[in-house]
This record gives sequence, structure tokens and C-alpha cells, in this order.
Amino acid sequence: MQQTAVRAARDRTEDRSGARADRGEDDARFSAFVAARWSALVRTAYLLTGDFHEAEDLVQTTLAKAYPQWRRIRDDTVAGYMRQALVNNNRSRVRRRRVVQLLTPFLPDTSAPADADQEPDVLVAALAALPERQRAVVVLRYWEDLSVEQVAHELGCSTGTVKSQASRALARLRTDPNLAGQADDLLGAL
Amino acid sequence: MTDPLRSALADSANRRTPRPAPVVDILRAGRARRTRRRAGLAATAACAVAAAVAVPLTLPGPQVVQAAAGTGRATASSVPAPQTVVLGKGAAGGRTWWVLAVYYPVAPSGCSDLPGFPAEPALSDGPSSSGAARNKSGDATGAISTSGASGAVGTSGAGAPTAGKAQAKGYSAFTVGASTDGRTIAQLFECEANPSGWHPGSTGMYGDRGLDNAGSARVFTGQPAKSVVSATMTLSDGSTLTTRVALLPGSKAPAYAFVVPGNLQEKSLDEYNAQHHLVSHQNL
Repeated sequence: MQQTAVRAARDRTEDRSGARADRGEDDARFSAFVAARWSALVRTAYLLTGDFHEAEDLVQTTLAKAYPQWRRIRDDTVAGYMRQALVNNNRSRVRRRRVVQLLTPFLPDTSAPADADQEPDVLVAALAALPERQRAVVVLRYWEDLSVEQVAHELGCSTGTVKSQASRALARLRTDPNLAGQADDLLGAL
Repeated sequence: MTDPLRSALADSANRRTPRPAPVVDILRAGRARRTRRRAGLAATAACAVAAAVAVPLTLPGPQVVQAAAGTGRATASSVPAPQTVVLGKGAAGGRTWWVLAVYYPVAPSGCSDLPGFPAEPALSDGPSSSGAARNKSGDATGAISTSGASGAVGTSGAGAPTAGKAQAKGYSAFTVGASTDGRTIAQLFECEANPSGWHPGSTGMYGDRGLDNAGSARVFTGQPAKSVVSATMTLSDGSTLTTRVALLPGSKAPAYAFVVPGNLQEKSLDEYNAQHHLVSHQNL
């Protein structure tokens, strides 16, 4: 009886230490992923948001949200998972900002650029003028180099929607005043 | 063709170098989020348990439950409490009606004298009983039930009967009543004693019954297929009533009820599954 109790206590201790070891392993795997993919994710987020600081915030929030799920994310799907999470969180961010703008419609934006290289890139400015979904399609299709099917999968829509959204996005970029004179060179026969 | 766009995007994205990855901050935020999430889940689970305990006590007819529970008589300490579920509700004749099903794990003595419900003679059949099912004795009392002892509203059959006509082995008791303002005033059909329990073949039982002598309201009850989760009834004036399917206590058999104003007729009945796909359509 006593031996059984001792064995059970030992098993519990081993379980606990095993779980702790698993958690440590997960943390190490997560930290390695963050360190390796941070720059790439921030760049993707920059194209999605049009602002570098917001991009860093977006990636940081997305990674923090992914952390509790980390154990369930398979290695072969982690890149897609993070891209999808980034797009979804950006969509939430846009919605939240829209609410803030509706609630405070008359407050002027008095913030000045913090440094010189914050001067907006014309292409990023043109992308920022696109609707959120069209922007996500352009970024995933032409920056992440995903196929139409992969983009459809990550955005949770049909391939036809991806094609039509891409077509509309490129049409809008062609006529965007920020890209005046460059649109034909950039977009060519797209 | 897309190369210029790709390279332009790459130029734009690579114009600035991101700060080093704030791994520690992310881990801290992630852990805090996980802790909040677990706390939220625990709180939700606690609320669900509390609600599961509280709901039977706060149903529209608390007197029914309490009265029924309080009539355990000599065997009160060992008899499981009756369970009540709301099959549907609606307004008619200037009153709000609830249709309740009360399941007795152990049949009380005298199925025709179930506690909390007045005696059957206090009521008469409603003015309209289109499709009203009739039990073995020919009385139009069974809104769901079709045939007395093997009625469609089944029970688990696992009850340990104590007295009365439900003393046969494996019998348990079940009744459906209507209530307004928390007081049960109509018994829709008497206690069913069903030894075989619910089975899929007992679905498809529909019928209606008057709720009061004035004919100001009727109750329409249905026992649909197991996949059905909601039902919509179209009335003669074009208005619709929608209700969710409830699982009858004891048997887990799906059932629902509509309260139909007395001056309107049922025109059609549509049943839907969880994906809101039409399962069945009946012209009544």
C-alpha cells in the first residue's frame, strides 16, 4: 500500500517535471522561431499596415497570441499559421482603428515623423490606400509569392475572389496618384 | 511580368531594418495571455456549472419543480427529483405561455395525479385540434403521444417505480403541461409509462391542443427527427413562429412546442438542422 503511494507520488513528480521540460522545450522552440522570423514577419506586416511601428506592434501582438497555441502548431504549418494570424490581426486592427476614428472624427493628427527615414514609401503609401482585403491579396500574392490557391486558403475565400481582388487592387494601383509615372513600369502587363 | 512589382515590394519592405526581436517581451505577453485564457476558461466552466444547477430552479414554473420535488412523500430522501424542461413559449390570448415537460425518474403514485398539475377534467379540448393525436382510449389528450403506453414521448425506462400504475418493471413517468405566470394551469397529456424507452421510430408525432376553454390559445407540439434543432411554423396570417428543439429529460428525445393564438391556424411547418438546412416541410 505504502509502496503504491510512493510510486504514485514519484510518477506525479515525474509527470510534473516532464511537463515542465516540455514547456521549456516549447519555449525554446518558440524563441528560436521568433528570433529567426521576426524580421520577415515585420516586413510583411509593414506592407500590410503601411507603418513600421504599427507593423512591429502587430507582429509582437500576433506572436504573443500564438504563444499559448504553440504546442498545437505543427512545424510544417507554422509559416502559414503565422501569415494567416498576421492578416487576421491586421483586419482586427483596421476595424478597431475605424471605431476610434468614428468616435473621434475631428481630432487632427499632430504626430510628426520621429525620424527622417519614416518618410513614407510611395508604393507602401499606395498599398495603404487599398482596402484591407485587396492589400492582403497583393502582399501574399506578390510579396510572399504564394499561389492563388494558397492565398485563397490563407484568406479563407475562393480562388475566384483572390483573382478578382488582385485584379481590382492592381487596377487601383495603376491609377494611384502616389505611383504616377511609375505604375506602368511596376505593374507592366499585369 | 510581376518581377518589377515584386522587386519594388522587396525594396519598400527592406528600406528599414526592424529592431531586434523582443523575444522576452513576447514570451511575457504570451504567458500572461495564456494565464488569462485559462482563468477565463475556468470561469466559463464554473459559470456553466452554476447555470446548470440554477436553471432548473429558475424556470418559469418554479412552483412546478418545487411542488413536484416536494411531493416525494415517504420516499423523498431516496427518490430523484423530477426534471423540467421548457419545450417552447409564446404569447396568446394576452398571456405568455410556457410549455413544460416534467420528467419523473421514479413515477409518483397515480400517473393521472401528478403533482403540480390540476386534474384533467379542469380542461376541455381546444376548439381546434387539427392533427391532434389520440391515445389508446381515444381521448384527444396526447399532443405528442400517440398511443398510451408506447407513446412517442419516451422515457429512459431506467426509473425504479414505486407505486401506482407505473409499478411495472422499467416504467417511468413523463408529463407535459402548460404554464402561464409561473402557474401550471393546463395538463396537455397525462403521465406516460413507457417501458421501452425512446427510439428513432417514435419521431414524427405532431398535434395540437387547446390551452383554455375560451379557445384563445393552442399548443402545437412536435417530436422531430434527431437532426432537427429548430422549427418554424407559418400561421394563416403569414406570420411565423420559431422555436428551438429541447431534449426531453430522461430520454434525450428531441421535442418542441409552439403556442398558437386561437384565432389563427397553422399553415405549414419547417424543420431545420444545425446548419439551418431544411430537414422537412409540412403543410398543415
